[in-house]
Amino acid sequence: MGKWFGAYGGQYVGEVLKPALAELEKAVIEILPSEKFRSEYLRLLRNFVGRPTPLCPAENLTEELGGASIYVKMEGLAHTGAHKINNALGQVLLAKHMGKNKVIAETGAGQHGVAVASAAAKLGLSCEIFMGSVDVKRQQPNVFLMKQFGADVQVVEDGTKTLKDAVNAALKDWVRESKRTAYVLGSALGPYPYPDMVRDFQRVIGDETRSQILEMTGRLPDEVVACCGGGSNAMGIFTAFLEDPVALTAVEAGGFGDKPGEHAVRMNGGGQTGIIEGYKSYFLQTDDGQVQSTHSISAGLDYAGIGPQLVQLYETGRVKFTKAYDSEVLQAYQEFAQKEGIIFALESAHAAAEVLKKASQMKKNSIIVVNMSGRGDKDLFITAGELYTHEWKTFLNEEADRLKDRSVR
Amino acid sequence: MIDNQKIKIMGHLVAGYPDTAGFEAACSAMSDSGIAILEIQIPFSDPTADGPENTGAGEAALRNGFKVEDFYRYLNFASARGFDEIHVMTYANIIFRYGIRKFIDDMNKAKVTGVIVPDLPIEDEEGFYSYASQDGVAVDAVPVAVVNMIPERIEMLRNLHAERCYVSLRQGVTGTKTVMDNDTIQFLDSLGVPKLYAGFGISTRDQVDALQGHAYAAVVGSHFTRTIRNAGSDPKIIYREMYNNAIKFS
Repeated sequence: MGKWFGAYGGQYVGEVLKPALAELEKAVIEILPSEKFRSEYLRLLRNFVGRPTPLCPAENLTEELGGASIYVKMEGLAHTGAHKINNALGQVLLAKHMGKNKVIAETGAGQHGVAVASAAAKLGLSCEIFMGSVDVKRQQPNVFLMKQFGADVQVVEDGTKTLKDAVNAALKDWVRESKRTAYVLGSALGPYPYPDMVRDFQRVIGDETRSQILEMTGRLPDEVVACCGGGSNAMGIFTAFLEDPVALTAVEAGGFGDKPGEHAVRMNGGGQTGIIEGYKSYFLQTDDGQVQSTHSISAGLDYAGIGPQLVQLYETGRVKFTKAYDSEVLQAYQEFAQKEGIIFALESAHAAAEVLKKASQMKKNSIIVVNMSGRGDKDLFITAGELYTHEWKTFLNEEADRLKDRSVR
Repeated sequence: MIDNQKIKIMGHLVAGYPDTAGFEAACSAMSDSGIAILEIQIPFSDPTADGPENTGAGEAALRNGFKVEDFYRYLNFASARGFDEIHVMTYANIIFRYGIRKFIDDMNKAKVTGVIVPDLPIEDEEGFYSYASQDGVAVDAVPVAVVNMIPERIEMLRNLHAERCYVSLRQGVTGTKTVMDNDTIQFLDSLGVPKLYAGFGISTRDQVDALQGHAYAAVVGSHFTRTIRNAGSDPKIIYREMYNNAIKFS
């Protein structure tokens, strides 16, 4: 546990938030390591989330590319379809142990919101999810799922009406009623202690991967690849390997171009150091310090900031950062579907794209692991729209017609 | 505490809102109606401590193309209006990108009284409070206190030996109604900072009167931003509405 990752991290918040963060820090130090909490959390990870998730050898692509052996960490098989549930469940359980009766959370694409809503339903806490109105419009399936779990979805109309504005709205709500409410942050960023706590809930991905690959091959991988938005799945799979001689590669969203607003690449010169939303890190921003708009085909990587620990790992050279363009991501998505029978989430398909570029250049008998942090069912409306345009349009029109005469329930 | 002195009003305006002419009209109306202190906010894309009114105003200014370098246009206009004090409020990233020392130096040159940055806490100050407290720097880095902050943090605040402190009267964001209770008054009296600027949710003269003897100034923020929004885009109407509204407080 630490507030700083080199020069990054910290707790840059207004005085109004300090009491709530102090209470959370105390709970993280006292409750998380307790036997009572650990045993309940591990039991839920097994019985509710479905852990451990498999590590699957991608034999067909390995043979075709003729280089490194490719393994896929099937994190997308976790309940609600992505790694997000590891952290959501952990924080909701912590809230319950703290005596809170309600959780609030921000969501962008809706994956974190769905995970929190599901965990809250399971653990009997009421739940309110803040989501920008732009995201609500394009992510109706996840809005529907959150509501099925009994969550109240608050539509945020501030600013760009996307993830960062949902974060701001949730923080403001938390200030108003932090006595009975816990704020469940979805990525390994934000003010201390969130980056530490989220990483610690997500490190199970790497811990499992490490023992699985040792069991299957008797050795450590040469490289581990993860996509990187805020960085929770990347920190999740990297943490167990930080002290090992294993290359770690994080893949950012290259979007559709290199101009400002066309991508979400914070590293390699894209972003600059800033202090925003409670922490110091790299942010995509204008010269005078306003947060820049971003783009990615995957909503989960479409974020201007990045976890502070990843910036430290970038600057020390421990984690290498690269990017994948939207078009490369769609190709990788199709490759893994056709050759391996696996549907990657578009976020995770960024990591898959990097593996496709790299595996053939690596020695035979070397090992590369890719974190499929999420599965791709949730992206149906994007992937089908891109890859199956005509049929999908016809289908949607017919469905809309079919619903026309149905009275609203 | 300055018991006998009449409590002053600090009016809040967002630079660039609703536009240059509208800002100038509102600013003139404030000084003409006797508002003693002006607080100008430099808009930021992610204003975590603002309520809906000021968030919306900042967004509108940024949508209209506001750049931080434009701020001097608004500051210079306000400086010529004869306010007793001018304070500048913004967020950490704006002055961090600008250069914190350079920002303080430039505000010092511009004869600004105080700079308020709510997301630069005392312990993670980036040189903000310490640089401004050096000899030869007249401008104050004004810390923010909150009613019911924990004792260790009150102690930290006292150790700054600040001349001025902004006090958030309720644990929340700007723009929702505040009630002065005894706890609030006791908190203000116990802080030990000579000049308290108490705000958050003040919209009536009664609320200001309740602070008489306990604060140096009462901050009226969201209420005035709402006045501008309701007045529309005509500077003449903005002036009239702001004047009629502000005169009730002075």
